This record gives sequence, structure tokens and C-alpha cells, in this order.
Amino acid sequence: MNNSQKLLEKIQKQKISQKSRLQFSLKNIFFWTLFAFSTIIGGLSFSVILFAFSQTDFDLLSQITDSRIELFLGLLPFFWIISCLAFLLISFFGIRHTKTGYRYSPFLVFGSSIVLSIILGTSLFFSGGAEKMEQIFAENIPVYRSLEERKISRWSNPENGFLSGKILEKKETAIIIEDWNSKKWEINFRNAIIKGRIFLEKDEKIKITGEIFEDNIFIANQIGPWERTGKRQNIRY
Amino acid sequence: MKTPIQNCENISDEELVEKSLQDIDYFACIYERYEKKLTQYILRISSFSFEEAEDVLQESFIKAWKNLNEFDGNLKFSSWIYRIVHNTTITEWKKSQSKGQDKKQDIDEELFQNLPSSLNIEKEADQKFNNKNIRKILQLMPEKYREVLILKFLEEKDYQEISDILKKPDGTVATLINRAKKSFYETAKQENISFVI
Repeated sequence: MNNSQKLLEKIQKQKISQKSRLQFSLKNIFFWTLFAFSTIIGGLSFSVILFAFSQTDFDLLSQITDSRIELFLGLLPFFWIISCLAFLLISFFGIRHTKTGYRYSPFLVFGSSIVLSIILGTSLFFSGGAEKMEQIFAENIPVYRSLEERKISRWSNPENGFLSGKILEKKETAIIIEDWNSKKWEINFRNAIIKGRIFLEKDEKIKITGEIFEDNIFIANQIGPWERTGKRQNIRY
Repeated sequence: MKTPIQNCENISDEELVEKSLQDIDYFACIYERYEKKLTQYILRISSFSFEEAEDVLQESFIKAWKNLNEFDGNLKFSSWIYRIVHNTTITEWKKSQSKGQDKKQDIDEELFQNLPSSLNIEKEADQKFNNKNIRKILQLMPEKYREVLILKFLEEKDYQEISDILKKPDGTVATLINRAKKSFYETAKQENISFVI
């Protein structure tokens, strides 16, 4: 008996069956879907990164002289940066495991994933999808600390010169605000620089740098709008 | 009943695959068509004995049978079957080594005759140049370089075929071949084997 006959005999004796064509097609579809899905998620993450940067108070860095690196790192949306990178890697893994994925150079695959994520992310950012997604996360994932919460936390630190809240009343050289903990403060703005589109009117939400003068009196150095880009103000009390 | 091999001679690989899916006897034709070539390939990339190589080939063809529906026109059948044989050989070879059967990889005689000319060193070699030295150099080379040299210069596969067999992009294959050539010369240098120009 020659080797080919031995092979056929073995296959028939052991009843070795073939995997169906559908199985291979499904596997291929799975990896293409994984690629598409992770590119989309990568794009969504990128859009929230853009949103986070648009909302981040980088001007704070100029206000303080020490622990700038610490503050800078605190301002970065690490969750979304890691998420974006992770899904880029998954999309790379996905395409490499498709039937002919190995033929594309890693740079091409990785590069196209990045470009697709950037295009998608930028479109979502400008259409307001990023903000919505961030809100959905904040509302539905208990461990997730939203950008807004982080911002409130940073600006609820009067001992270190950062205060924020809603204007209740305006006087000649002072305003009364209520911070996010419902504490009332008198803000003296006689020597303050007013930055951005701000009118110091009732119900306006503002952020202030300066120092505590007395228990509930704060001397402002600089006052700015709560939202950086003039977007709608949506603080949750 | 086995289809006699002469009936398969004018049938392409791709047609034989289609026919094998209907009638297993045609699978024997594929086996016989590739048996010699692939046994030789197994011997080239491992140090299995001839009998062991036959077993690896049988194992590879069983895998090919199981996955026959995976094959389509995206690549040449020979690339597809070489890939299966390559992977099975490497897996079995590593298994045998982990079991303590630490054989030193041996390269067959034909390699020494084909490789020098392919590497453009045939003209450069003088009387001192001998097969034993090339054998030694190849044994010392990393597996990733040795396998591309064997595929390119012994199996005479083009870049696309090597890319499909090793599942690496064309560019990577080209880089590997260039590096393998350099590695070949560097290893020769380290071993004080000189090629006179």
C-alpha cells in the first residue's frame, strides 16, 4: 500500500470530517467585523479625547508655578486615550487574522486604522456625538468619573485658589455665587481679569482663580466662563 | 476505489481540490503530486528522519483534508499546502526538541549546490569553498532566515508565494531575504569562512 492509499484509509477509518465552508466564512467575517467595530470604538474614543481637550483648562497651567506636571497629567483624559489605543490594537489584530490580512504591511494596517479613527472621531466631535457619549458613560458606568466631575473637583478647591459656581447676585465690585456644594461665596472682582465671554449675570456659571480672604469671601484674580467654548452649561447639582 | 494517478495528470490543483470535496479519491492525486516535493521540504527545514518526515506529511495532509473548504482562489494551492506542511513541521519539530530529542539541524546536499549560485557567490568562491562550510553556516543561522533562504533558493518560490506560505507581507519577506543574505555572510565571517572574490 502506498502512502496516498494509507492517507485515504486513515481519513476514512478515523472518519475525519471536513470543516464546513460556512465555518471559515464566519471566521473571516468575525475578524472583519472585529476590525470595523474596534475602528468605530477607537473613533468614538478619539472623539471624546478631542472633546476632553476642548473642555480642559490648560490655562490653569499658567496659573500655578509648582506641580505643573502633576496638574497636566491630571488634565489628560487617560481613560479615553487608553481606550483609543486598545481598540486600535484590537482592530489591527482583527485585520491581521482575516484570510488575507497578513498580506498588508503592519504600518499600512495600523496607519489606516488610525486615519479612519481620526476621521470618524473628528466628525463625531463636531456633530456633538462625543459629548453625548461621554454623558452616557458618566450616567451609566458607576466607576467612570466624567470629565465634568473631574472639572468640578478641580474647581472646588478654594484653599488652593480655584473656585467655581453659579452667580446668585451681582453687586458693584462683588458677586455672590453658590458653589457646587451649595456654599455661598462673596467674590470680590475689583482687581480681577475677566477672560472670555462672560457678563457676570445671575445664573451664569463661572470659574475663578484667586485666594480666600475670609471664611466665605474670595478675592478673584481671574474670572472666566465655566464652559470654555461657549457651549451650553449643563452642570448637575 | 482510488483514482489512478494518470487520470489526474491534466487536472489543475484547484480542480483537484473541487473534485476531492466530492470524491476523496482525488485527494490521493493531490498527495501523490506533492509527496516528493513536500517530503523534501520537511527534510530541509527540520532534522527529521525520512520516516518521520513521511509521518509529518501524513499529518499535514490530514489537516489539509479537514480544512479543504478553507482553500479558495485567493492564493495558489501549492502555497496553501506548503503553509500547512511548514506549520506542521515546525510544530512537530519543536515538540520533538522539547521532548529532549535535540537533533542538530542538518541541511541536505542539494541546498549547498543551489544556494551559492542563488546568493551570487558562486563566481566568488574559489577552491576552498565547500559544501561543508555552507552547511555549517546555515546550521548557525536563525530559523527565520534559514526558512526564507530555503523557500527562495531551494524551493524556488517567489516573494508572493513565500508571503502566502509564511503569512508575512511581501515587504517583510523581501527584508527577511536581504537580512538572511547578510546574516549568511556575517556568520561565514564569524566562522572564518572566506569567499574569495
